[in-house]
Amino acid sequence: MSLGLTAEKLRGAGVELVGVVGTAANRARRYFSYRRPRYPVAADPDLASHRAFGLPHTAFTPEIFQIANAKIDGVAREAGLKVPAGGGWQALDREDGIQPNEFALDIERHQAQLTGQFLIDRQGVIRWSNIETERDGMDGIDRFPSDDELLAALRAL
Amino acid sequence: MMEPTTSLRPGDDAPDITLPSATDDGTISLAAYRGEGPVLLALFRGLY
Repeated sequence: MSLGLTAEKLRGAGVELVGVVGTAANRARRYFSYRRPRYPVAADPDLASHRAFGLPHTAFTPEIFQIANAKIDGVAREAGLKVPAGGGWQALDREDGIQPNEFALDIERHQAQLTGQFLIDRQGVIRWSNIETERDGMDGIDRFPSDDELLAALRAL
Repeated sequence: MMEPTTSLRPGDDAPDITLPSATDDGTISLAAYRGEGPVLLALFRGLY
């Protein structure tokens, strides 16, 4: 979500970055009041947009859970937090001042939802897309395309 | 592991989505950008 610089680069190239986050508007607004994104973000707690764009979804398997835990532990450690294996979620929630149970229900409801990015032209036609894990398998979890990739896609419009 | 993808592809029409803003009162609609300029739509998970 920390894509402020990316959003500025895209805006400079005439493209607006629009985010959709799978959290209820009231809770998202509270969260973003501490770290306001530099681009428009919409709230979609039911993930209707993800379904409309056909993003893959599956139940949480132990393997996915393990990968997700390892990723979150990495994020927490990069943030300078000391966390035991699997402790990244709680450590980051504490850091963010979020009550752990607040988001647990969403996780349970959403299970493993993959993410994606779609470049949509002014006629409303998709011109480029990137679906999480499609190119890099499970290594691609949480990987947002680089600015260079995005700008190259734009140049091809 | 994942269900077979049925993701929309380049060349497909983007569905319109209209949702409440996650930062302010009001809504955000893809339709509002039609005719304006390209949009990079980024669909994230929840703020877990």
